Amino acid sequence: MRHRVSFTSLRFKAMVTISGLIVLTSAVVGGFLFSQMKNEMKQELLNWGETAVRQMANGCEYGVLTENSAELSSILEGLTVQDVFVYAAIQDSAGKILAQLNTLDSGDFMSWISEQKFSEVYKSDTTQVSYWRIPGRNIDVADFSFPVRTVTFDMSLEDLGATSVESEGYNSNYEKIGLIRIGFSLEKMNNRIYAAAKLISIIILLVTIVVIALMAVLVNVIIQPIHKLAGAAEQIARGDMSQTVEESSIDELRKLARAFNVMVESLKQSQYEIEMYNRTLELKIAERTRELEEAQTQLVQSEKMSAIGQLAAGVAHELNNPMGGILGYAQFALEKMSKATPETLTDKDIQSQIKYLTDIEQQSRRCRAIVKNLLKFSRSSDKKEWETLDINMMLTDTISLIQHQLDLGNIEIEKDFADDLPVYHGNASQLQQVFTNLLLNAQHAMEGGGTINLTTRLSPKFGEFSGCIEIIVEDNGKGIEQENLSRIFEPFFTTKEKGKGTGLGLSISYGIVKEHGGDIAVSSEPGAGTRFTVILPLDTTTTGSTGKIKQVTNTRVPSGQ
Amino acid sequence: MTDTKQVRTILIVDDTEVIRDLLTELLESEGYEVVCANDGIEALDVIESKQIDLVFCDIHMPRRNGLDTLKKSQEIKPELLFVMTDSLPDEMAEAAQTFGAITCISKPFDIDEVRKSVRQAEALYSKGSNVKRITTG
Repeated sequence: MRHRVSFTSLRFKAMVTISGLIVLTSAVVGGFLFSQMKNEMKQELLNWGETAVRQMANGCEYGVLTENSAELSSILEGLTVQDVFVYAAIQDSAGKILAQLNTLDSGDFMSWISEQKFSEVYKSDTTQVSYWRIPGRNIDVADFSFPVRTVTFDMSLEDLGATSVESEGYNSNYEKIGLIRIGFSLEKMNNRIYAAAKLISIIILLVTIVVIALMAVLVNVIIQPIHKLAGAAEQIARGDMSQTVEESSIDELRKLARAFNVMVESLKQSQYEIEMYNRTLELKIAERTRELEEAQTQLVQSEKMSAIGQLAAGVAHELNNPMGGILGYAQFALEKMSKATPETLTDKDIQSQIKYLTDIEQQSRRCRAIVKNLLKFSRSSDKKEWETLDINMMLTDTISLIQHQLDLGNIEIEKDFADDLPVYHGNASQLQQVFTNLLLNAQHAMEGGGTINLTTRLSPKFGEFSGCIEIIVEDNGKGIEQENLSRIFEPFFTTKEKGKGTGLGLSISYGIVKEHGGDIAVSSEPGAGTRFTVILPLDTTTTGSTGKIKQVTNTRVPSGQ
Repeated sequence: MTDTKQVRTILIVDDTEVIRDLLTELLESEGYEVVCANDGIEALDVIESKQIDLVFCDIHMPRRNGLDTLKKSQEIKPELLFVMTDSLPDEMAEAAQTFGAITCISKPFDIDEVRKSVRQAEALYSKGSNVKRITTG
């Protein structure tokens, strides 16, 4: 398992905190032990020094009284057996040195003595202890001094304050006759203190290291399962649901691991449920989409059939006229020829026969054209048969399909076709549906007749906009009310009487033009007329582009006449 | 009553050239004088200005349709006989007859039907105006 050193990790924080606490505790304990030890040693030295200096002071009373330097020196000699002895001196009450002994050169010692203001030390009745460092020797010394006294009987004192003396039960009095001072080296004691400090430090250091190591192990025992848990959680977050964590031997962590595993299980379960639900949803969506598509196709087709239905009477009439001619001329020719013989057959007869046959041929062609046109129009839209076509020709075909319808409505079509239109790639049947719809709408807008201006023109390529063909259907009919203008492309929106229109014509036309990557713009002025502009881009790679219906309301429609 | 044909001049009203041509050829070969009109308006002009005995009239025509022309003609010349020609639904044919048309022949028609309707008209003329009144009534 990889571990990055992170200053915010639990491991780091726990280790730093615990180590810090352990070091602090050790330092406090160590410091306390050390100072205890130091104090004790010092006290021991003090006790020992005090005892020594008092005993020495008692022992040299006589020597001082007699100012016997030799005796005093021999007394001092006894001190040399002490390894801590540095110096000793006995002075009389005036400060004069009666005897001295030292392990140093006398210069240092004498200069120190003169510095020590004999009179101040001498005033004291108790042991005076002072510490000093002998210059140049680096020897720390504890200096003990004690007055040398002798017992006197002071009569005058007895007279003056006997009561006070007697009350203490003390008849004698002490008189200071000199001073003894002994210097003991602190080096040994200091060495012992250092050694003890060293020992304590080492013990504390070892204890600290051992405790920290144990803590580290303990922390690891706690951290490791948490790490595993975190790793597993990360894996789950990445989508790997196969993760489980082993249960730790620590109660709390075992609970956590169990809870985690239970959580993963229920997560798995709910993820599976969501997946199943999604899958069902996807299937449902696909099904609905297919149904919608089917319905859409059916809608387009039924609108077309409705248009064909509207056209049926006209088409029948269109067909019946040439067929009337065919039938009539054929019967006429038959009658004449069945009576004729080669002898009676005149040139005139032959001429009229040729005329009849020519008429029959012409009218048959007309029938064929009408039927072909109708079939082209009724071809199913969902085949998406795209072909290369001539827009002007497509429009001419459309007009011939509804010519009769237009004639009956006294509608004239003024064609203004551009002769420079490039070939267009599109679905002829669908586009015919669009223009049949627009032309018949124009007719309906002009009750009693009128003129439709049908214009085609080429909008040249401009900048990033590829060129397009514009087809303008303009009538001078009743126009479209402003409030309806925005709704005319909505499915099932119609202003016609009930049963007269499906309300799908324009919405389907719009859909067809959109499918060609184009757009329909409309402008209208009530009472003056309406102009529809169908824009068909020549670059059909942009098929299905997101064009919007451009509405120019209340624009004066220029009179096409 | 004489054997002389009482139908002499026939007006053909149709917006389709081939039908006009066919009827003209057929009726002229039968010995009638034929006048043509493209639509109802032209037809009424002819009816007003010329002596017409029988009208073959299309119903679906631009400007003024056949039924209107028939009605208008009844106002101007009530005695004038009409044969309607069209590919009509039956109810329209009935309507035409209530307006006074003697018969309807639907396209595409046999030329014998045309001849038969002319004879029908001639029969009506020979029986006099009584029959005509019954028909219109």
